[in-house]
Amino acid sequence: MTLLAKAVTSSDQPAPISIEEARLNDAKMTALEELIKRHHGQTPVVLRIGTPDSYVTMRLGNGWRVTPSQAFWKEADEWQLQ
Amino acid sequence: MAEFVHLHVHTEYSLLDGAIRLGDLCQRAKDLGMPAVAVTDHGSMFGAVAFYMTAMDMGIKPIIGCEVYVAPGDVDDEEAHLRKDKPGGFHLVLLAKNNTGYKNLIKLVSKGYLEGFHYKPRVTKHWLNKHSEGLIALSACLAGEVPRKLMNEGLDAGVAMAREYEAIFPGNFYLELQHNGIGDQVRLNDLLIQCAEKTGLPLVATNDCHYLTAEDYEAHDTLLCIQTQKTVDDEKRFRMDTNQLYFKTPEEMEEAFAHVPEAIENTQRIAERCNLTIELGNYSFPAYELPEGVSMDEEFERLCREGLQKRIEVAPYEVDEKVYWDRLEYELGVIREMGFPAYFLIVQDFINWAKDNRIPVGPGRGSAAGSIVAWALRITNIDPIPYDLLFERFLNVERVSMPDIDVDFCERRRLEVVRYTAEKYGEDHVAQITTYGTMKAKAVIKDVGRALGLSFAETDRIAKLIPEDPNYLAQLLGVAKAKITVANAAKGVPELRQMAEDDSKVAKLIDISKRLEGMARHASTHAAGVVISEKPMTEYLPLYTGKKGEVVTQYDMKKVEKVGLIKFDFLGLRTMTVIEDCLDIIREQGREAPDLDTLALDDPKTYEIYSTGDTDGVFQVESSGMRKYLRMLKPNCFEDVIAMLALYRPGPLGSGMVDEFIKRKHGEVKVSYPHPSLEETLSPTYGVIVYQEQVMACAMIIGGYSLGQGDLLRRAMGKKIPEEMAKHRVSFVAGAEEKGIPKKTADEIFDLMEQFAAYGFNKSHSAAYALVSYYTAYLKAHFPVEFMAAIMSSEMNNTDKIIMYVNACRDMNIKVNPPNVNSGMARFSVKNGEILFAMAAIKNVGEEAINEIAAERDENGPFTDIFDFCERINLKRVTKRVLESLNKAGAFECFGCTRASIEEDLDRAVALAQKKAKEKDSGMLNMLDMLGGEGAGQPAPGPEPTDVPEWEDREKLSREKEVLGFFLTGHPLLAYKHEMRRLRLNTLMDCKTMPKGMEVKVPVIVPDFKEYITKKGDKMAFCTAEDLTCTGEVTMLPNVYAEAGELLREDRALLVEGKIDSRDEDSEARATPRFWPTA
Repeated sequence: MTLLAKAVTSSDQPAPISIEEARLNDAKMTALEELIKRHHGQTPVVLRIGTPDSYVTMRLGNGWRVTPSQAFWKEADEWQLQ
Repeated sequence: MAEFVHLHVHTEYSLLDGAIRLGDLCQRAKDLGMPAVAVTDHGSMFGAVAFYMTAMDMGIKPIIGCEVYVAPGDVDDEEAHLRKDKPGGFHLVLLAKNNTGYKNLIKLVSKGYLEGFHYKPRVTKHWLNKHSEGLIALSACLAGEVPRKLMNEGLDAGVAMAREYEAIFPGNFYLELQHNGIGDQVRLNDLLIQCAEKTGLPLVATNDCHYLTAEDYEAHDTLLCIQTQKTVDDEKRFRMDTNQLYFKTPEEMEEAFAHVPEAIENTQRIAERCNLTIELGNYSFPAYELPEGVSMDEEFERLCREGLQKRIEVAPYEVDEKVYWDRLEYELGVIREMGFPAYFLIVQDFINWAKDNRIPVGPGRGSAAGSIVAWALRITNIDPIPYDLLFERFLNVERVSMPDIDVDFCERRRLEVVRYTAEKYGEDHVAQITTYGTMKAKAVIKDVGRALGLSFAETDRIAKLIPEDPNYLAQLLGVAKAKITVANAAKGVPELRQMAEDDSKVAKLIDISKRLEGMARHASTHAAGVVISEKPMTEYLPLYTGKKGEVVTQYDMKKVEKVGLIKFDFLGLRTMTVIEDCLDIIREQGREAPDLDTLALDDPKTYEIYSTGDTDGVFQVESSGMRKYLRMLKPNCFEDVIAMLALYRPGPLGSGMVDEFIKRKHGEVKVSYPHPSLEETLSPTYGVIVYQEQVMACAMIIGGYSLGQGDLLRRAMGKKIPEEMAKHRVSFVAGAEEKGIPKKTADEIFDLMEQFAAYGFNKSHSAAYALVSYYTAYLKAHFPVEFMAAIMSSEMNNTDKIIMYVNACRDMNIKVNPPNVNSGMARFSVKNGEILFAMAAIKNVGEEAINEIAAERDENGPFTDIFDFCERINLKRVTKRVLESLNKAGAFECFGCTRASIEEDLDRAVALAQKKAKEKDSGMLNMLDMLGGEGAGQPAPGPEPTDVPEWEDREKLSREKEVLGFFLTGHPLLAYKHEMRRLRLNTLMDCKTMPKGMEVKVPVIVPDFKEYITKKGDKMAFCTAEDLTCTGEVTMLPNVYAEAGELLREDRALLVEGKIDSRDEDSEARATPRFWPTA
């Protein structure tokens, strides 16, 4: 039994961000790049892209690592919805 | 043959006072050569008919009696029962000599409960005098009135009292001698003998038996502790002053009364004088009022024909009228022939009354949904023809039995229907039925453990060692079948056996539990059963008053039917309440509510609810296992829903039938039929035999059976009786051969039917319940906000369910707002497409306070701030505590200020309101108004509310939880929503369906935990865990607790890594996930 906050910071699991394929465009990718830069850290990011049939998971490169703080997730949610 | 007969005996039906089982009693009497035995339970006749039947079966003459309590007062005192200055009453043993006596005893015992109850059900001498015919009375123990007089006031007073009783029971009053080891009894016996000499009254010997053998004394003593909720070590507790109140042998009794042999002889004479025959097995229907000059059958047929005509006219699908009318005529014939028109008329009458009074009634339940008569009379609401529902599954001419129509009413209004029947048939012709709670294996261990003074943890640990699964226990015992009993568990469970060997306290606990196991513990009102009688109820059976003042039979369901009464099952079904509430909310929103009676059953949006498994709140399909199968099946027609309800049971699931069914639906396995002629019958279930009705139809189509015979075959297959099955196989094959079907094929089909019949389900029931399920799915699909508000109202007191539904609302993007004093209702309501939390669900806020708030708001408009609120509300009804609770729940947020500000202002607002109320009361405000003083006639400017920043999130949530039972506007774990996916964590809901031993990682908060010290002196803890989905239990063993115990602070988000321990899981839907951390 551990504190959840501690488990979260010590985990090396990648941070998943989901988006529908139809919503992906250059502007969206640029916004994502900026978001990741703002929260740059050590946790890898996987992008889950929803197609009509299934989800495709892409692991982003090492330069695209983040610190998955609550602020990061809040912005990621907003990015997803914009 | 022995000359002595026990005439004063308390059985287990002297609830928690007697410890004698009826079967054991009769066997003991028989073994001891007694020709008869009496049962005289305290104040009641709960066990009378059961005793009568048992004794008759065992060849012993039953003497039915009762040890009644007599209220003080003389025979002319008509109001003695109303005087409640002294508790209880004097004991008096009554025995029924004959049928008249039995009926009088019933009347006396019933009056004792219904009119004379004061601590005990008391009768008066006035009543005894009125109903003494056919009764023999014995003066009873030291607590009898004659013994009391003799002991307290001397011989002359006792003689006078004895004469009073003799006058009430001329020639039938006996002075009762006992030899029981109680000091006072010796003196009393002398006085009784002198009294007998003075009065000429006969003596009789009894032993006031409370347990069967001397060895049962300790068990009985423990039973008294269970009754009084004391421990055996408690010196001040109630106990018997002797250990001799057992069922003594005739020799023991004869020896004890050698000096008064007539007291022994008289037991025999009394037994010979008691000759009672209770009529069992004959039915009498209540009198249904008919129009003048019309017979029962005529009225029945008229209503059926008119009803069917109306049904056909409004049917939302095409109807082959001939099929319907032919079926009606057939059913009418059978019902007439069986003599049941009255039954149908009575049932249709109260159901239609309920419907006419907008009390929701379920579309059907059980096999009655297979009857077109029931449909025509509006008893059921499902057309049996399109779904091949069979009448013979309900009423079978080949197996005559009473029809049994169970009816689901709105849970809240069910009692209105019971009241209606009481008004229609007479208050004294209607009663609810009793049910006895018995001491089952685990429960008796807990009860006895408590009484013996064992700790809760110790008792709980022992109780948990009793297996829940009889097959598992049988395996441990190395036998084919085993009942879950303390005796079997003590023999079969090695851990339990070891504990009993090592610890004498455990051995004693098990021994006493074995002696008491299975005995009746308490009587309560059955949730559904109602009886309506032709003559007043006390002509048939004794009555008592239930906890809520309802009139209840003293005999249980089976015995009620045995004595000839017709029972009706009025069930309360919460879903019917949910449906009605949902329709009301829809109407309140100004929208048109759907007419469920004519709802088309092909709505794609509704089937989407089933196919996606998004079934929170949908009747019968909420469990996670069911959701899994629904997602696989993707139902797209009503037949699929009926089938899924029938298939989702351990038998079909274990047999692979469900997987086969799903594969066939999706074309993954070819749909085939055992014989081409069976295609029509089996095509709705893709060739799989799912229903009992299909087994019956196969018997008819292949074996040439009638449907009635098919029903007998279906029952035989279900019971697996080899001799019957062999006979059926011969006739089935012969019938098939006559139709040109080869023997080999017929044998194969018979085998197949036999295989499926083991799992077959009643389609009529499934179809009716599928319809209720469809209603709820339809409402959820088309009116999701209204539906979720209604379902949450129905589960208002179940925090776990509310948490589940609030989360479901979150997933459905439905906002659930905190309660609001300006628009909230007692129940969950809908405002602007969002749900408003129920005010009645806030702790400490009662109905009275809510009514006060709503009434003031409706009369004078919304409240503007906390000062306005306190001024306008009666603060005696809405107390400071209520105000605080409302604020913690967020109910004042509508004033546009923080909860912290309200808290700050609360004392000031209450003080100001009280001051103003005082001034108003003293007339000061009126006077100012009258004098035209400054500001008169205009409202004075109110005090300025304080502006204080809101409490921190954690504090706000914690207070919210304090009054709502859970976090509403947030949750400590919500901040980790994304991390749950990232860290691949499980939820507590997931854990419910995971197998024992599976490793899980669950983020939780621990709102509560209890620390225990193990036998070795180590500390461990049992924790309540909670996440966003439900609650669970975490057992922290000493090593884990030592390391992580300090993390257990309220509302702190924790990650538990552990293994599932679901040993106590009894059903998936109800299971509490339990697990223990491994680190």
